[in-house]
Amino acid sequence: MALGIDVNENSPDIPYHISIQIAKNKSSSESGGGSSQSSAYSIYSVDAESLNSGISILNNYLDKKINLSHCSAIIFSEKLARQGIGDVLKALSNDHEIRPNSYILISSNRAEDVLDKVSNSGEEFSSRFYEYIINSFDYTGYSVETTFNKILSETNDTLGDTIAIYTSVNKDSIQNEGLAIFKDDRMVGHTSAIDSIAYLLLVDKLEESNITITNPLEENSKIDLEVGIVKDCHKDIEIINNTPYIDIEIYASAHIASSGENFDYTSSDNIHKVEEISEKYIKNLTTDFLYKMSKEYEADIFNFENLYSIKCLTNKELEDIHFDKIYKDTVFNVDVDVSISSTHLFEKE
Amino acid sequence: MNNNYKIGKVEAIFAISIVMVNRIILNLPYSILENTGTGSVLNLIYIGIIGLALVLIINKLFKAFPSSDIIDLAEFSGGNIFKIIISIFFICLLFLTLFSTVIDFTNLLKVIYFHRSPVIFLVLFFILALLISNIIGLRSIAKTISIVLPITVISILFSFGAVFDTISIDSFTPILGDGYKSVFVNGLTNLFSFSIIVFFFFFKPLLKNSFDFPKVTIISFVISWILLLLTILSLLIAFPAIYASSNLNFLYSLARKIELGNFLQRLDALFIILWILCVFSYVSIITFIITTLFKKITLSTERNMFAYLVAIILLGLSLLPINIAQIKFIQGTIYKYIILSAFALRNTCFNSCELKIQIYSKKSEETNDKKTFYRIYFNLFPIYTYWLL
Repeated sequence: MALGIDVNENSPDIPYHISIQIAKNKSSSESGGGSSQSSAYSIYSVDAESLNSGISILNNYLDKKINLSHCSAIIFSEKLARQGIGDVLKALSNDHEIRPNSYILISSNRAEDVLDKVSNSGEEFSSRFYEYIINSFDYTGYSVETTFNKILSETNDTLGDTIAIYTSVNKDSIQNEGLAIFKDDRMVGHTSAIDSIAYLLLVDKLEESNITITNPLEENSKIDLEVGIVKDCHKDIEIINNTPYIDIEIYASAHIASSGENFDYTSSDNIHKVEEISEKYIKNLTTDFLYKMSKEYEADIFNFENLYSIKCLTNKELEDIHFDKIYKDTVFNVDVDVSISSTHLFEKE
Repeated sequence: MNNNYKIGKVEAIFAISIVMVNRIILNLPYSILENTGTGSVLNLIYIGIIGLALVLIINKLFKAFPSSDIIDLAEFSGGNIFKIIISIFFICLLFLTLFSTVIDFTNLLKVIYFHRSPVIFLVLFFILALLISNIIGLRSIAKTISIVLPITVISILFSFGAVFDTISIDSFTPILGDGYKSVFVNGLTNLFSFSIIVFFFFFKPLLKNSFDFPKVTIISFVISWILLLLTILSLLIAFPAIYASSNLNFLYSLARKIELGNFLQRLDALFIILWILCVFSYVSIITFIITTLFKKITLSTERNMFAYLVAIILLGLSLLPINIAQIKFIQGTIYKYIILSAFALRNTCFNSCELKIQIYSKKSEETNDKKTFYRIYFNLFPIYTYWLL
C-alpha cells in the first residue's frame, strides 16, 4: 500500500487530492483479466479538506478499512511540498499505525501518476519497488534514505532543515532525480542525483559510490573510482564578524574500478596523482553542494546551527547570533583526504 | 504486623524504584525538559545531589525512630490531631497520584489502542488490579514488582542503547538551556521528580529488618536518578525538536523510533504491555499505603475494607469529565507543588519530634531553638528560595 498526496487543482476550498494504492485481492486480480501486464493494484482517489477526512471518505466506499501500518511509501507532489507538508506529516503521525520507516518521496509530477506507474511496473510487491529506489543509496550513493520518522523529526527541528528523495515520472517508470531540499516544512528546490554523493559524504553515510575523474596521465581518458568513507568527517564552525566559517575534513577511501589503457597501478606517483585529482573532485562536489544549500536555498540541512550550539552556554547566546540570517554568508573550507587502497584485480592496464 | 505485610531489602528497593519508572512512563521527562530544555542534564545532576542530600537527612532523622513511619512521628510530636492532619494530607497526595496516574495512563491507552472504548472501561481494569493485589497482600505486590521492574528497566536501557549510536554532544547543548537561573533556581522545582522520597516516609515499618532502611533508600534513589538521567539523555538524542513540540508521551514516541534492522521494529506494542504491568504494580503500592494511612487514622485492624473504599472513590473520581488539559495541569502543576510541600511537611514532623526529644532531655532551650531553626531553614532552603524568586 502507498499513499499519494497532491494539491487539488479544482477547488481551493478542498486543498488535497489523496490517492491510495492498494493491492487487489488475489482472486479479483486473477478474474480481472488474463493479461500478464494487468496491474495487481487498484488506485483510489478522493478530494478532501484534510488527510483524515480523505481517508474517512476512502474507508466509506472501499470494501476494506485502510490501515496505514501497511503503507510502505508516502508520495507528495512537488506542488504540495512547496506549499508545506507539515500539517499532513503531523496528521499522519497522529495515526499510531503509521510505520515510522515508511519512505517519503517528492514527485515532480502528480503523486497519483507515480502510484499509477508503480502499479504498472510489473513488480509484485510495490513496497519492493520503493525499496529499490531508496535503498540504492547503499550501493550507488545516488539516493538517500528518507523515512517518515526522519522527515517528521527534522521538519519540526528548530535548528535545522531536511531533505527528501526527489523523483520524476518517465515513460515506463519513476526515476530518482536527486534531493528535494526543505526549509522548515516547505520544499525550496532540488538538486541532481550526483549531489546525493556530496550529501552522504557530509553526513557520514556514504557506503559506496562510483565517481569518474580525469586520468591525470592521459588527457582524454577517465578513471572510475569506488568511493567510500574511512571515518566520520570532522566539522568545525566559527562565527567571526557575523560570518560563519565552517571547516570540514572528509576522510574517504577509494578503489580504482577501471582506468582505461596504459595505467600502471604499481607506481606510487600514479596513485598519488589519482588521489590528488579525486580529492579535488570531491572537494569541488561537496563545496558546490554546500554553497548551493547556503546561498541558493538557505537550508541548514547539516544542522550547522546545532553544531555551533556547543560553543554557546545558553539558548539566548545562540538566538542572538541569528544564524538563519547569516547562514547565506557562510564561508566553507573543505579539506578532503582520499586514500586509494586497492586497484582490484589488475596491477597494470 | 502480619508477615504478609513485611518485605525484604531487594523487594523494597524494587517497590520504591517502580515509582520512578511509572513517573517516567507518565511523561515526567517532558515536564523536566519543558522547564529546563537542554539544561536538563546539568539540572538533573544538580537536583540529584540535592535529592541525595535529602535522602541522607531522612536516613539520619529516621535513625532515632526504628520501625516508625511519618505518621507515627506526627503522632509522637503533635498528638492525635497532628497525626490526623498529616495523614489526611498524605491521603490526599496519594489519591491525587493514584487518580492522575490511572486517568493519564488510561487516556494514553485510549489514544493508542482503544479509540472507541470509554475511559471508565479501562479504568475498571486498574481498579480491579489494585483491589485484588491489596486483598492478597503486600508481599504478592512486591514479588510481582520484582519480576516486572527489571524487565521494564531493561526496556528503558534498551531505548537508550537504540539511540546511542546517534549520540552527539550537540544534542545536549547549549548546556545551560535558558540560562543559569533556569537551571539552578527555577530548575529547583524539578525536585518534584524525586517523588519517590515521599514513599520513603512509609517504608520503614514495612521492612523485615528496619536497619536496612538507609541502604534501601539510597540504592532506590540512585537507581531512580540513573533511570531518569538515561531517559532524558535518550530523548534529547532522539528528538532534536524536543522542546519545540510536545508529544503526548515521549517514551512511547521513543519506543516507536527504535528499530534494529528490518526485523525488529515497532517495539512500542511490547513496551505498552510492560508499562501496563508497571502501572498495575504502582497503583497497588499506592493503594496499600493509603489503606495503611486509613488504618492508622481509624485505629482499625481491617485493611481490605479500606481497599474497597479506595476503589470506590477512584471509580467515582474517574467518572468526572476531565480533559487532557486538566490532566496535564494536575500532573504538571498541582502534583509538582504538593510533592514539594510534602518535602516541607516532612521537615516539620522531624523537627518537632527532635524538639520534643530535646525538651524531654532538658537541654539548653536556647541552643535547641537555634539548632532547630537552622535545620528547618536548611531543609526548606530550595523551596523557600524558589518562592522568594
